[in-house]
Order: sequence, then structure tokens, then C-alpha cells
Amino acid sequence: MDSAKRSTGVAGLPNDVLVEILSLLPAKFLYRSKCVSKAWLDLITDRLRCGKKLPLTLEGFFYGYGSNDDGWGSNKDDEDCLNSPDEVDGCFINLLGKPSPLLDASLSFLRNQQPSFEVDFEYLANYNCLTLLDSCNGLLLFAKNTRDTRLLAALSKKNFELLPFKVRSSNDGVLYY
Amino acid sequence: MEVDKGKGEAEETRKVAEADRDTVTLKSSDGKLFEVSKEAAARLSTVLAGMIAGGSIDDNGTDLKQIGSEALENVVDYCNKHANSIPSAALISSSISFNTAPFKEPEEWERKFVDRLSHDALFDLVEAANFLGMERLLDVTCHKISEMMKGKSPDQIREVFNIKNDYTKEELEEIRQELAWAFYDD
Repeated sequence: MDSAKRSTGVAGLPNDVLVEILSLLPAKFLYRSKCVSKAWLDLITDRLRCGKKLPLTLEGFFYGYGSNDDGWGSNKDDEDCLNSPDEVDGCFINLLGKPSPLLDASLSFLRNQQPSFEVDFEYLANYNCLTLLDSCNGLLLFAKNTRDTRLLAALSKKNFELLPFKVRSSNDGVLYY
Repeated sequence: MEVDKGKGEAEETRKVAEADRDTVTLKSSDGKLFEVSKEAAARLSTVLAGMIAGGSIDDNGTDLKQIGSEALENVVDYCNKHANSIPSAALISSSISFNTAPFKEPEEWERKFVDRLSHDALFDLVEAANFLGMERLLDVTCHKISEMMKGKSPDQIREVFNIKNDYTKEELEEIRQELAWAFYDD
């Protein structure tokens, strides 16, 4: 129609329509579209967070093994976990079959597939000795080697929070995305 | 608008006459009139279905102020083509399942229908479909736009869709680093 009206382009479309369009894109292009503008970044991040419409792609699985069969310390006593982090080991299986899983960019330990989750995040420089306690739907629960600190990190983002309380595992009801 | 009794009655008669017609007349923002099959309009557009059921269809052209004539022409064209593309037996009860069915790839004629549109016409049509609650047309047009976006860099997307880059160089660099995986290969 009139080109003056069109000057807003896709950004001028109602958000619902834009989400409709973005939801049809493969994950790669969807995430790439975050670079288009701040409005798009907000929209994509927001919808991903809400889990509405825009799909989360299954990249692979974490699996854990340790000296006890309960997995990643899920039923372990808090004290045990923290005093012997080496008991908790694990691996990441990449389902996409590509050398560069989606998670690489933010979590270097995945690329290296280190047997232990003693990780050194660039962006967690102050917490350079972390133990993975549990994971659920793209969230990771880490413990620092002190008795009270818990970290929660989201897989696809360089993002983490210090939890104000102690938790042992997803059984405690905090690991929901 | 019309307050005196005589005209009110005339309105009534007109509504009855309207109910008997098998087309509805739609008026674009720039005053052009289009006729569309009532059955197809009611089946394909939740908004028009509501207007038809609620008797708010105007014989002299139902005002659709948000939709320009080119987009409305495409909407009407789509409705008419769609009416022809489905065997008449399937027409009657499909309106409910239509809105809840998962996205189905565009059919050949739907592809052709959106492929021939100019960039602007396509975007106007998406907006019209959204405004009129035309689920299927919205799906088909959104699908076409998403196809246009695939394989494009953010720069190209901005250019094609006429979006202003409001990131600073540093902000963009930071996001790109986070999303490095999304920029591999291709």
C-alpha cells in the first residue's frame, strides 16, 4: 500500500504476528534475529522465557554418574555434596550431531566435555570452582565450595543468579524454567 | 446514526434482505467496495463471522477502516479462491477445526497466491488477516515472511524489513558473541 506506512516494516507488525513469523523459523535464525533490533531481542527473549510459541530446541542430554546411584546428589546430604564434589561426574550428549552444540558459546565445559563439572566460566570468574548438582529444562544448579552459596545458571545465556537459600536438587522445587 | 422511526424500520428490512443474500459487501479504508461470498467470509474470518452473526454487516459496504483496498482485494480474492479449492461437502462444518488444527504447509495455490505479492502487499495482507482473524491466511502469509527471513543475516533482515538498528557497536558485539553458535556455517 502506501510506502509511508510501510516505513516501519516488520517492526510495525503487531507483536503477535511477529511472534507467529518468528515461531516458524529454525532455532538458529530465531536466535540470530536477536541481533536485528532491541525490540526483537526483547520479544524473542521474553517469549522464550515464557515458553510461548517460540520453540526451545532439544540439544542433548546431560547425564550424571557418581559414587552413589541417586545421580547428581539428588538425595545426598548437603554436607556430603559440598565436601566431596568429585563424586558428581557427568557428560553431555549432543543430539544435533554437530561439532558445535548450541551451548558452546556460553558454557565452555560442554565443548570440552570434561568428565567433571568443575567448571571455570569466564563470566563467573569469581566462582571458579563449581559443582553441578542438578539440571532441569535448561537450568543448571551449581554449588560453590562453600556451605551456603548456590548458583543457578541458564544454559543458553550467560546468566546466573545467586539463590538466597540453600537447595539440594530439583526435588526441592526450584529448578523450573 | 439514524434515529427516526421510519429509517429504523428501513434498516430492519434491509437486515432481513441482507440475511437472504449470499454475499457480503466490504468497504476498504479508501472507500472501494468488494463482494465476498458470505459462506467463505464466515468460515475464514472469525471477525466477519461475528459481524454476520451479529447482524452488523452493512448492505452498502461494511466499513473496514484498517484495511486498504489492495489488501482487501487480496483478502476477498483469497476467500473466493479458498471457497473453490475445497469440495463443497467439506465447507459446512470445518470452521471449528480450522482454527485449532496445527499448522499445515501452504498448498500449491496458496504458495502461488502469496508468491505473486509485492513486499508491501504481503505485509499489508498479514495485517489484514490478523485484523480479520483469518487464521489460515495469517499462517500462510507468516510462513511466506519467515521463508523470506531464512538464510539472511541480521543486516539483511534489517534492510529487507526496513528496521532501524538501535544497537551500539559494543552491544551488538556482545550479543553476537553470546550467539556465536547461531552464526556458524552457512
